[in-house]
Amino acid sequence: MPDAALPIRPQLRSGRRHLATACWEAFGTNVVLRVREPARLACARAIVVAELDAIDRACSRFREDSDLSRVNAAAGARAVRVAPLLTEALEVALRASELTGGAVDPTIGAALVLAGYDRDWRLLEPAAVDAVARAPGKKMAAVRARLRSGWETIDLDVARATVRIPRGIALDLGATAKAWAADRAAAAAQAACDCGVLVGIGGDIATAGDAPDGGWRIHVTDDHRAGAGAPGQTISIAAGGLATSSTLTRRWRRGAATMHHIIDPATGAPTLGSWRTVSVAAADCTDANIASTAALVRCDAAAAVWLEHCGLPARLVDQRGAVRRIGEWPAPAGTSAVTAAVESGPVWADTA
Amino acid sequence: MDHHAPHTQNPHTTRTRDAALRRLGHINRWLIAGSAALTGAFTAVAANAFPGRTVKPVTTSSAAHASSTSSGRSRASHASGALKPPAQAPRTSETPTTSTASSTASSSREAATTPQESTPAQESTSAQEATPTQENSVAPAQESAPVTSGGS
Repeated sequence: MPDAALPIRPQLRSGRRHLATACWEAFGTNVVLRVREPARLACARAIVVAELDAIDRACSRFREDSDLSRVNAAAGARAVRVAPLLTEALEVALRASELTGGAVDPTIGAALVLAGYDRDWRLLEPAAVDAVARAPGKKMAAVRARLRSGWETIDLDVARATVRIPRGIALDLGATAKAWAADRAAAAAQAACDCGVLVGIGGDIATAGDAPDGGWRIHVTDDHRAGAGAPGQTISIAAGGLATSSTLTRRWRRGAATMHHIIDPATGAPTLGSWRTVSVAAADCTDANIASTAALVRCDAAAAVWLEHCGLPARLVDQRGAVRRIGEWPAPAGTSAVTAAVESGPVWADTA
Repeated sequence: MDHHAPHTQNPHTTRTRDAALRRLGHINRWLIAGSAALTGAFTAVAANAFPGRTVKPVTTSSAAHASSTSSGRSRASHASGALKPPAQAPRTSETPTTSTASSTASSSREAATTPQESTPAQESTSAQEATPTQENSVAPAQESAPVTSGGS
């Protein structure tokens, strides 16, 4: 949208002290758009809506007309010609797989379906409240997906924009597409509207352009729907992205078992690690989300070691609510800034 | 009886032998063709059963098209580089005292949230947000509620 259609009030332009926010739903979750120039909120919103809609049409597993669904339907048969958006999304997903040693894998679609996640998760039978309160590892029934899978089986031809997957494979880009979409939308909105932009999709937050004074304020917690009043920590970032992954959200019942959406590709079942929530800050939201998801899949101490090795500031919360900070993740206000120290966090899981 | 007399072949026997040789030649040719066809068929079956694993140089969409086919193992443009840390580490931010709400709406309606960052009148609907010159949809940055990052 041209700037001419969006007159900028001089006092806002010069002051750079104001923010405007819009929220709506997409990708089956909440979208937050915050801009530094309130006069440009409508412009930014139009850009973000169009970007997310295009990505949804290309990458959704729950839309029969999406390119991704066509690829899954043709598994084991021909290569499918797809939109460039899907090839790019697959490149991102495969990069995630490569960088995480397969901990983040786009070929877990069949395992998710086997676990019961075969439609928009809001349509699934919700898990009981007590199932959230208890330690997930004790109640979780493992779904052993005896499926041949693996990100290395994907044949992606970027130049021809074709994808072919073997029989038995189903792609799911839920682990990376949301954060990648947030990055794309934020960059596009910033470029079109020429102001600092924050885009949050289901708790995955991307920023572009100049940050407000003091940075973009973000409250990290278990569930992005819980709001800034929930137990957690409020931080600020000047640029880049921040993502939080948690096994306490997107849970549903399958028979007597409680499932969640973080699948361990090695087992084909919901992960049973000791971390329940991981927040990571990175140069962009995609990298942050790759790291936070992989940390949940990786077992226990290995996750913290890996995050430290990557140099990514991170905050890990275990099943009892104890918090561990990695790298340059800031200490909560009023506590000592001991890096990578285990601190006793509030045990809010049992009361959630 | 002269056992050393030159052996004179029966013409009928000769024709029979030649015919048999021709049949053998045909059979051999069919066997060779069949073997080649079966080899091809088995190759196709094996290729379908165990696809991928083609390791080629990393390519990008702008690279030469001839080498752009890649499997999951040989990643393209996005595969380069490790996960990148932020340019600046996150900083502690004071927990808002005047604001406790999330900026993430849980309902499906399209409405401005972060109620504590603005007065109720400022919590405009999306239609109101679409009016770019409205000042009442803004709030000082220092008072805005933080965006929530959590599992989704």
